[in-house]
Amino acid sequence: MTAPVRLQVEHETRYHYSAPVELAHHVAFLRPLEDARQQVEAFELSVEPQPSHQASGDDVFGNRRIFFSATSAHQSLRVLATSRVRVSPRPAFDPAATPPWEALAGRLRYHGGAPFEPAAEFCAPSPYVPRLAALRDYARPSFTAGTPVAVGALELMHRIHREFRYETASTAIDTPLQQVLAERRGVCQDFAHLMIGALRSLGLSARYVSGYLLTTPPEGQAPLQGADASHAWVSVHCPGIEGGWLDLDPTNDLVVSTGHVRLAYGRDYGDVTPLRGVIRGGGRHTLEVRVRTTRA
Amino acid sequence: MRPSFDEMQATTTTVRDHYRTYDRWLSQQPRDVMRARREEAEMIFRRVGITFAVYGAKDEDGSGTERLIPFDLIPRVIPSAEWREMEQGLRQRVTALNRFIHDVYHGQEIIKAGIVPADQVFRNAQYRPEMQGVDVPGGVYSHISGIDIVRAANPDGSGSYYVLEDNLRVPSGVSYMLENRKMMMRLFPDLFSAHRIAPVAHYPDLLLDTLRAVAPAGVNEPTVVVLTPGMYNSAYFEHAFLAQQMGVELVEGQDLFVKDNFVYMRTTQGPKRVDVIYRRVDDDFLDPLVFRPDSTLGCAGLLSVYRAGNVTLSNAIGTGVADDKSIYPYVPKMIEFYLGEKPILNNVPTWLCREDEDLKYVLDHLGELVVKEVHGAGGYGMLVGPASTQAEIEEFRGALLANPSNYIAQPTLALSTCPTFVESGIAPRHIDLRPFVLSGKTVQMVPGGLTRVALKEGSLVVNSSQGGGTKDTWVLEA
Repeated sequence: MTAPVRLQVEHETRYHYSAPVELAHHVAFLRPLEDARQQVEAFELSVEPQPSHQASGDDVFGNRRIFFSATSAHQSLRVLATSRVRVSPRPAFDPAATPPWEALAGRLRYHGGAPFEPAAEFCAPSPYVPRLAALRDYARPSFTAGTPVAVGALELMHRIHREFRYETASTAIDTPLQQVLAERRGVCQDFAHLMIGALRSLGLSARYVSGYLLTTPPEGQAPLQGADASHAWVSVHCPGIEGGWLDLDPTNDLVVSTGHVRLAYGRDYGDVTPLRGVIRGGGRHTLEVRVRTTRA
Repeated sequence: MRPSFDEMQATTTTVRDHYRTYDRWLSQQPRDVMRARREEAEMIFRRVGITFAVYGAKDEDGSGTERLIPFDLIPRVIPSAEWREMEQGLRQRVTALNRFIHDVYHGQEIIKAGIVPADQVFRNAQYRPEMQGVDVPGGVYSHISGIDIVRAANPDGSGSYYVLEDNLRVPSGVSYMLENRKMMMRLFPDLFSAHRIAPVAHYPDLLLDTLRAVAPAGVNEPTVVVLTPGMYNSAYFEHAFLAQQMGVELVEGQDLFVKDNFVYMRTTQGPKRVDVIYRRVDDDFLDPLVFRPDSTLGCAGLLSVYRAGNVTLSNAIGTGVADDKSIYPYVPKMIEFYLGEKPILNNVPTWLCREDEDLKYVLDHLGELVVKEVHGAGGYGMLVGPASTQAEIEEFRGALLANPSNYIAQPTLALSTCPTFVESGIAPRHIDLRPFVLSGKTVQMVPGGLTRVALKEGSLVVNSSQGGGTKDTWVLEA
């Protein structure tokens, strides 16, 4: 086991509008979350133009959500989120010691009078992750009878990494999962949604994680996919593992440890979009995003 | 032979007590006078513009889809004792439903107690996680509830009332209740001196009282508006009507904007702060920042203002989680759980197709059951087994098998009938009743509600989009 590492993230988003925007409302999920394995040592959100109103609070999943609005005319918007976090490595775990997947799925299914399982919320289909028979068919080979849930999830992650091609800009966020599945290519959001949908189709519980990847890999290793933008991966409910959830990155075929910074957990992308907004005016716009994650 | 229950005729030759005066009056009316009255009613409705739009329908010339809702001259009469019990039952039911919605978005006690399944709530498309932990004034979510009630015949010839469904999102139809009464008083003033009929005309006053009562804390003179999706909505007439009757502004999304965490409407005198929005726009379209990003019917930033408690939405966001047909079977248990009372109003026995055993039963009995989409409304996407052809049943079986959890089934109730004017004269037609229950500081309602009638012989579908009509509803005062 290694010591905790400090990571520094700079996430800059710039919009340029062809016509002035007279009223803008934005909502951001840009502050890293805090838990036993990740502490936020510093966080700053700077917005230009200066917002006329800003408020923040926690959403239902415990993520920090920041609203801001601008009421004076502007032709560009710059949002810079700077964070420094301390990430502890995931303790070693034994995938074979997690419960068989059928037993877990059975427990997450409703039974009259049974105690409430909060994880069951992430078994349900969500707007970006519909229930598809094809997802179930895809998931089954990794989950033969009696497979411990973490073993199956790891195997599923290996298969997605092997069988799907990472292709920048090959999909848009509204590309349906059917198409990703048919064309066997996509970006990190697609792989996360795909894996979540496959797990949920078996009655398992899986969350979407939005976050960042270390841009510069340790010496001698190839840079990872998705490091130059915001990243996404999957968190699988695995009782028996510390914290009860196992974060897996199907884009890079990795168990998440100290190379990832976690921003937010949700049912899918729609719950935790890093930055979105509604504007009045603006005409056409161009967008630039820059993310840099380094060891501090 | 299936049992039947007629609201007016106790037997083919005798009339129920509460219809006796009306029956005597009706027998004295020449047929052609009644026919002329009917034409007069239609002309007035058309002239006043009391119409609704049918989605997906086109007139012969391919343009207008505005229709009149057929109005029937024969009222539906409810004796005062029956209404008193129904009113108590409605009060109880709506109170429990409001408690349930509050619970879903706060402690979730009923889920933890294992009474309502967690997945029925969290997998519900109408569940709004954005509402978790949001406090609304008085803990009231459904300020305006439309509870659909039918009377079904028992084998012994008596009738029992059942709640068919709860409408807690944006129930419509109250304008027809009011206009039907006005029409009856205009056409047949003599009937109103011969009967003691409970008034309904004060509904808009009660509605405004209710909306003002749930204004954000600290606002003494709240500004109330009615938010409509616009003139292409099927109930646009009603939106305009209610705004006008209450004396408040009718606004569209583009008339509103959010600034410094308050909602304002644009007026000719500059921006004016809005405190209570009686919205007739679905949740999904309310705030493009949080819900459907392509919505132009709402107001960006509204949810942030709402969460801060600076505006009241009526009904609250996320009430649909309680009026879903898959939650309906649990309402009697909710009443017991939250109020510790026995339910006064009956629920219709319901099979949940998501349960394997129930699904098997439903598939074996498709010809006898009514099968509905869990999230359906307006009579779309349903199968009435006994009234369907074998081909229709088989087609529906395919849809049901493809996604069982999307459907529930209920026995085909022998809905009560009420004499109705049809082309061939006076004939019994099936009816239902939608009382409108207002919840603010207290729970209030006007006596009766909207009676809808299925004009096609034998039809059980009363929805206006499916060719239903309406009647005036009289609650007789004792």
